[in-house]
Amino acid sequence: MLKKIRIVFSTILILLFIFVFLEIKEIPTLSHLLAITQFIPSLLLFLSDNFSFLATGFLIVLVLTVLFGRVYCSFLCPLGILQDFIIFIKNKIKKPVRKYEFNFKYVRYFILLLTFIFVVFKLNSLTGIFDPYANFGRISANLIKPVFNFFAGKFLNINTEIHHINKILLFYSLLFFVFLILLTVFKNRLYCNTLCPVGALLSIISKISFFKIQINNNCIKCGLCEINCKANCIDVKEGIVDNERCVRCFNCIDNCKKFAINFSYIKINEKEDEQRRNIIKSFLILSLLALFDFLKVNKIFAKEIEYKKKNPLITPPGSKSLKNFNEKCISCHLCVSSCPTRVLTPSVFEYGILCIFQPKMDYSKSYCLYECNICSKVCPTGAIQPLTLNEKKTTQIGIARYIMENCVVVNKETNCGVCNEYCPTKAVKLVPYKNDLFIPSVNKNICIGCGACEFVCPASPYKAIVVEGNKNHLIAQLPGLQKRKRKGQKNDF
Amino acid sequence: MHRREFLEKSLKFLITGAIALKTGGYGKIFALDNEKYDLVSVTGENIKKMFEEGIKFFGGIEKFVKRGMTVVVKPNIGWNAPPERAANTNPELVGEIVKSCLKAGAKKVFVFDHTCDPWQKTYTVSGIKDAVEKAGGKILSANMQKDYVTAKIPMAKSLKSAKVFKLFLDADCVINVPILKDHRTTELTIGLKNLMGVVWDRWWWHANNLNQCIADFLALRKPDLTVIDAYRVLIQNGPRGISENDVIKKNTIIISKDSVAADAAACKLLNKIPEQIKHIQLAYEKNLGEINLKNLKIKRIVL
Repeated sequence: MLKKIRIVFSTILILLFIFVFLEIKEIPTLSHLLAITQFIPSLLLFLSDNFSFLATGFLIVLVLTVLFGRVYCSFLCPLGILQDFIIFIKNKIKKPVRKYEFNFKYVRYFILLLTFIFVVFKLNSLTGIFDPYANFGRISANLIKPVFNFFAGKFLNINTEIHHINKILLFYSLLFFVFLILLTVFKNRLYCNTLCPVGALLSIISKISFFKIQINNNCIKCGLCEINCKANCIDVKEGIVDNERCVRCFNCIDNCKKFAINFSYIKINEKEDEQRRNIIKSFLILSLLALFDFLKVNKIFAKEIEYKKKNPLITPPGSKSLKNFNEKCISCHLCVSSCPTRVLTPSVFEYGILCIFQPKMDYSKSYCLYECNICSKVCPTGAIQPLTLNEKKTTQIGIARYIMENCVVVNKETNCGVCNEYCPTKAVKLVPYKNDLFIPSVNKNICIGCGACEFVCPASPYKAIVVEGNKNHLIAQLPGLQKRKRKGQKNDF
Repeated sequence: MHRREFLEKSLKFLITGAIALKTGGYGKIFALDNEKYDLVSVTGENIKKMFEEGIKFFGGIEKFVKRGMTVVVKPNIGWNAPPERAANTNPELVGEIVKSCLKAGAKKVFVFDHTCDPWQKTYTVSGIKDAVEKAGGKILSANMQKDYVTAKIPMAKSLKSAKVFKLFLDADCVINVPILKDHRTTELTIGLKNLMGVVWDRWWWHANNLNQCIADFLALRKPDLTVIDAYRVLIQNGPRGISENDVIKKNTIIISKDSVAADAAACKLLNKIPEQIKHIQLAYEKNLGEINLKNLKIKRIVL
């Protein structure tokens, strides 16, 4: 029964996730809500300066874990559900033979510690390297989506475009995916119990969970539960279940024919009670430390990434500043997937190795649509903060600069003006050059740095108008909205 | 002239004449009384009604759309802006044209544009997708290169060949439905400029004498009918526009078989001289249509 509930729930959830990442229909609110059910994004959003009550997803996860153990891993985590799916396919091919496995406790504690350091020092791109949700996002955005679009375009006759695949990210995602498949095929949920920082944290908390899985006296040691255990945490011989590693898939309960294994409230003895108290205590101390850290320590120690580059990369509107963006983004690529113009593309090392895979605005591929604020709506970590459409229209993320030597008007003596045509605010005006020719000129107060001019500029090999990013986003003036006098009905025609 | 040459030439002449008469030229020569007017302008409030009334003066849409034909209706759907901003053709007008084509017995009516902003956005925001689907037409994305074929352009000065949306060449009937707009580089964008939306590599035009390219392209395939939407007109900050403040209402549509004449008439609506709009003048110089409205029979209706 519990297993069936899990299967239904998790299938719906992963379908929603895939729906969101493949951008089948554009529902930014759904994307955002789904993403902040995830532990690390909602934790980061909670810790960020724009606190929102929506960001309490991780608290709910914590409470659930204290009550029931690591239900997060089987019910909410998309990477976990993906692994379950792989296991499901594997079991169709070959009957499962699983056995109790050694516990790699210290590996996962080490990764938890690393993640803690990354979060404290705001190196969240590195947090995202291990975070299951960010990994799922990268696989979806860079691997599943292009493949889906390719086949959908070919066989279903749906008009999907395969947009500029980032080969490095495709390769990385493929590599990770293959690694995950191999790990899952041979060792089941080993990723969740060794590499996943969320799994590690929840495993500590699940030590004290009120509901636990236990083998009772009915057991005839048939070993069905051990075979079907996804976390390899049941030892039938000894009659023990390692609840720290149990991901609460409830396969064991469903498979037991003697009702010899159950999920129920556990009364604990004194020794365990003390343990529980200790864990709660240490957890409180840890959170106090963390709080202290966020108030003071990180201001002293937080690593300043070099921002002195002349032309810093352009970050999406809503990210406030390069610093804010670099510190909070976990590279889940939900914004990359949601961007209707595909101007948001994954970077690799462009922001520096500490900000690996964070998205950037790539004006050689596309431009930022004036009437769009989707990325700011979906971002689950506060790296891109919510903007209303009117705020977005005046958020200056960069300024266009005209380079006369490259311009076709100057070089070919022909009128072009396509930059002016695309400019949504008409910050790019055309001014007389010579004869009948006009060249662009940028009004820096109005320009918002959307990059439409740079994208469409036909000059090659070098563009004649390029956007230079603002390290700190500014507010641009509203374009002149003066109303023209209505001309009378009279006309020459 | 040698005998052989004479025979050859006269044979060619006969064949050409016969083909011309067979393929529709016949109707144009001998059925003049059905088509009294070269150009019709309709002013009114209800744009659907305006088209309905206006097309009657050409003998109805049936004159252009025969049973079983594949029809292409080419509006301007370039920008991510609602109808009120007048950056795209009026959706009601497009819907009405699609509907009347189907009523006349068209097999299929296709609507598309190679958009500037992403088509997924512009098609819906402009309201054209809804209107077309409601009317029973089919709206297509024109943003994939595989749907384009290279075509040689006759008599071209600048644009010798272009990648053209295949359907535009294959269709039996093409109806161009541009919107009259301000445009900084070409002064105005009307029907001829709207045809840029059926080519793939149009940025090349901007770098290679845009006005000449626009005029050249008309020679490839002249639309069978042009319906200019001058209901709402974007008179500044074109062709994208910033806000509704850039828009005035002219409440007019212009219908003509002659693309150049239709554009010339639309220029006059905004008190511009057609001869000064370079691409229109260039098209006229190439004998692709009439720029001088005095030489045309014009019907003006106010509803």
